[in-house]
Amino acid sequence: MNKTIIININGTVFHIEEDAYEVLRTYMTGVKRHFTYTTDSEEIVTDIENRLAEMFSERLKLDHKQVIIIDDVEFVTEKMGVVDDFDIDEEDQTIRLSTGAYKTEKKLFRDTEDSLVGGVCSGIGHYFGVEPKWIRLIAIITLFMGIGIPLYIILWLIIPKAKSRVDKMAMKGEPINIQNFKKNFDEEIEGLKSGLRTASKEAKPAINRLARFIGKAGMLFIKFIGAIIILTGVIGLFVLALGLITFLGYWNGNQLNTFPFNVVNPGYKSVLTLSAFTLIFIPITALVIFAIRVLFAHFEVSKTLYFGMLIIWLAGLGIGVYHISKIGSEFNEEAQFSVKSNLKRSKSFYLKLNPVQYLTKEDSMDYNIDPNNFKGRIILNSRRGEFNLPRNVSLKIEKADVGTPVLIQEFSAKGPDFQTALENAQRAKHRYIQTDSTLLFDGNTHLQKGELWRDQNVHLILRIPESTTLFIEGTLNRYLEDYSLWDCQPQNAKSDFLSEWIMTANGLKCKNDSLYNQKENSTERQ
Amino acid sequence: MIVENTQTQMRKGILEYCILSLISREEIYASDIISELTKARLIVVEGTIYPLLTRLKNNGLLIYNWQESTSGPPRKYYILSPAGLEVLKRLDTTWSELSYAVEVSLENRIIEPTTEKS
Repeated sequence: MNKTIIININGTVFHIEEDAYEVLRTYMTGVKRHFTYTTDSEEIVTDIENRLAEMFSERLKLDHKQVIIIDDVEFVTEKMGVVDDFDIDEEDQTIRLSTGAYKTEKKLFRDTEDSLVGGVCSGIGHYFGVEPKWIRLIAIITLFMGIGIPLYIILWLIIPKAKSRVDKMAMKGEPINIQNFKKNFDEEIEGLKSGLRTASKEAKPAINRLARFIGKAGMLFIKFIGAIIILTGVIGLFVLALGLITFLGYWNGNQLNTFPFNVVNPGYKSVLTLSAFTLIFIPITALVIFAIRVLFAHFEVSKTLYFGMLIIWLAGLGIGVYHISKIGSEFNEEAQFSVKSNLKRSKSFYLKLNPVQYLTKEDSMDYNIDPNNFKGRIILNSRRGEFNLPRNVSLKIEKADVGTPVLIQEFSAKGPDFQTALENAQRAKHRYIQTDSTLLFDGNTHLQKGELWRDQNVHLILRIPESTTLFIEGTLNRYLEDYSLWDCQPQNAKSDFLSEWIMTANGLKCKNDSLYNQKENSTERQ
Repeated sequence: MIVENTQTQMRKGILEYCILSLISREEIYASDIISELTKARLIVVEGTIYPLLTRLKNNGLLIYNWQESTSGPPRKYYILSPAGLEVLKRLDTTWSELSYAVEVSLENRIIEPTTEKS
């Protein structure tokens, strides 16, 4: 199937194929130019046109055809002769100089036959007579400078695409005459036959072929990437859709109790999940559609679809933001209350993190944990506390004004109003155990199952009478305020090292201060 | 280069003379002139004929009539004008003189006939 053009040669109408028309037009342009400086050029040209029309009519009638094809044009123009052969009659040989092959001005076109994106670089390359790859290199450099992409898009819009063969020849600066035209056309035919777009094997140096190869390879690479995007995108969408249903069921069934899922109010779970799903699903869909369009040029997508997708995405974003801000408002107010307990008196205290992990059997099953072996560690000896909440315990050690040691637990939590915040704080649990001189602290506050996270915190204040000795376990360092246990232990000490402190009138002091300082100094001197 | 120049000169003059002679025989169409010339082994492309005919016509040697054609646009059929006839007569004289001159010059030389183009 070929596109045909209707032409009128001095009153006779012909249907002519596009390629054939271009050859004919170029031929006639050559003829007209040839006779430009001849007297009666118009008459001669008309005679020639009439004769061409007559020959076309004869050929069409002979073959019972309706459309002039390139063979007809070649036959007819051959009979009429190339312009250079006309000169036998010319009396003034100087005319010959002004005719024949005339050099055309180079024009800037986009070369879509040798393109990676829009053919801008190769077009510019043709115009300046530079290999496209150098222009591309410059383009990539400008890309990193930040002006590359907008500049490229502007050039893409401004520079016309080289559509016709005449355009392509003007782009490459080849003189537009019938010989070149045929050469160009034959090259193209040859190229199509051998599966290449342009067969300029002899005509152009090897480096050009290399550039072409790079271009083709780049195209192939882009297509490869496109195929990967489509494949992974489609799989991703499928998994996402499947995951959505699973996740909704799982979450609404209160199976997900870890942070940050336990922040979300139960009523918002489905909405938030759906909006998050939309926010991910739509861009992936758009990406897949775009990749399909790049890969298959004929794949049309209506703008309505894109707009629809954009609107849904924005709606998802809006709903998501709304609900997140609603959840945010649950953190408006903060409430606090304290529990003061007297500790048994002792000359010295051992402060340790409670090594017992509060994983009930039910929890262990929920988290799918083998209670005896969690990533190679024994869960019961884990000192990490429950891992479903951010760290929420802090410990401050002060000098007691009275002779009795005291532990104050300051619980705090947030809520939409003070009352709710206070209730939230009251539901939080924190445990300490005193056995003789040993104090075990939980590393976390504990929430009941299904309880929402509302920044429940416990601030422990331990008040110790003066001259009491404290042995503090290294693991408590991260909870301890004002002091650093690192100052009171040898280098490379294990986390269960007990550093020895004493309560003085000026607060806590490392007992073996001099020893460790000396050690530090000696290591520094080395 | 010189050879080519001479050839061109010879062909030029003779082509014009031949065309005038062909037209003198009967009303004739440009492409028929080509066929006749091809028959006479004087091969030119059609494009050569049109400027030449136009020039001869503008010099008053030819007249043309439009005639309807079954295939395509109307054709120009050429005949000699009285002035053309006069020119042809003079060219005839010139040619017989030249022909004699060539004949005498070529005497005792054997030229093999050739169908080759120039």
